[in-house]
Amino acid sequence: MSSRWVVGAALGILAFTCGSILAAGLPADFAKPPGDLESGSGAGRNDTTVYFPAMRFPLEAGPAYANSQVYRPGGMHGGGGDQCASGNYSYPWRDIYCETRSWAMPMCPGAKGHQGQDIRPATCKKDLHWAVAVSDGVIANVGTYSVTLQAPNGVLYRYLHLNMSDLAVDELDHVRKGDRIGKVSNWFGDERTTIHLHFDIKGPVRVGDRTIVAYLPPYTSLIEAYKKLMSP
Amino acid sequence: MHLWRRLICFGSVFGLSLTGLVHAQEVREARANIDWAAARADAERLAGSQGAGLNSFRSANAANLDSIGVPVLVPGTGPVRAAPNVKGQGTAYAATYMLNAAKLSVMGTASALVPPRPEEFTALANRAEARTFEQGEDGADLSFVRYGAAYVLRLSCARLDDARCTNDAFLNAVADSLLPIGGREQ
Repeated sequence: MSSRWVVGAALGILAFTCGSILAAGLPADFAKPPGDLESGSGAGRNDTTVYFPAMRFPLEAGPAYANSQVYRPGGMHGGGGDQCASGNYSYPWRDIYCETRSWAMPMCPGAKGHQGQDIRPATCKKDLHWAVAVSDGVIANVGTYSVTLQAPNGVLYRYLHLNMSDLAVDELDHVRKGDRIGKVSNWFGDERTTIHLHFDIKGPVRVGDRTIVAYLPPYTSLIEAYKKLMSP
Repeated sequence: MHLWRRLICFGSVFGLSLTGLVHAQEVREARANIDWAAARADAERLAGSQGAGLNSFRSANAANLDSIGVPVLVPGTGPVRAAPNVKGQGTAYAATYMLNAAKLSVMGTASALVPPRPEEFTALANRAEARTFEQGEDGADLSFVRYGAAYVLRLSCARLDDARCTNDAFLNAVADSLLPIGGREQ
């Protein structure tokens, strides 16, 4: 590895740390580092790159709590408890990109894992908190319990578990950054999940003369967007 | 927070920024080198096999389609034959289809991200197949590159056990049927 990359990585960590400390209105340690997953929930991707620095935070208002829906109270491997437990609605955030799942995820250390980031809204109340467009774009897919926003550069931002009976958008609508999309809920096909927003990002990546399409790590971009949201 | 901690942070970031090394962390955006000649040749060669419906759609929407800066691929004579709804935005587009108990979108873009350390993606790129099928929450995706542009077919099924979303056969059949019906170098 060249010294340029070593120094670059050091700068990334420094900027990440300082950014966390300096974000107005937020505790210095409001977010665990990228790749530091909940204990026993798998191996994360230690990647400090902010892939989408201009992204808006996907919830209209804070506070919000990015953490696991499975390895926390109320989750399948959360040791019992209730999804509305106060611990689920407190800092620090946890990265869950690559958390243990059966989905193929070649960018994860184990080549399988969770494809995005789960975020709890300010309160444990469904159908109240708005998810909003993180970018200008077009609503490119409205699925069974998901909405996909395609940005002008082709990046796909996906929102899951919204209240699909009360969306603020229709398929192929143009939206502006910050426009309301839908309310955070627990829709999950025929079943119900915890009250949260699952947010993932898929985009093309140029590697030399090749292009690949992959689910990209959203956590660092969410941290940067959240610091802007919560700044006075 | 103590003043000295703020000063250390600001000073460190500012100092390193001055060296230009901050750029090592930035993600860039690049425009794909689209093979428009190949897309046009395919469009002309396949025009006769597209079926009357798609030809009519192309004729009726020529101006809209040609304002899109990426080859616009839509399903032709495969398992999806309905006329699409298409929305372009510069060098990207989305075409949507309402299927029986499922929703399909075909999305293309002529842009790509260039990560700050592309070598971290080299192994992934070398392993990548011509088409990548990814099952996930609320459906499945099939992604691939054609004419230099990146495409994603995104399918959401009403039932989680719908075979169209649990294995790659359906989306591969859709991909096999894709035809260029528009798009122009901007």
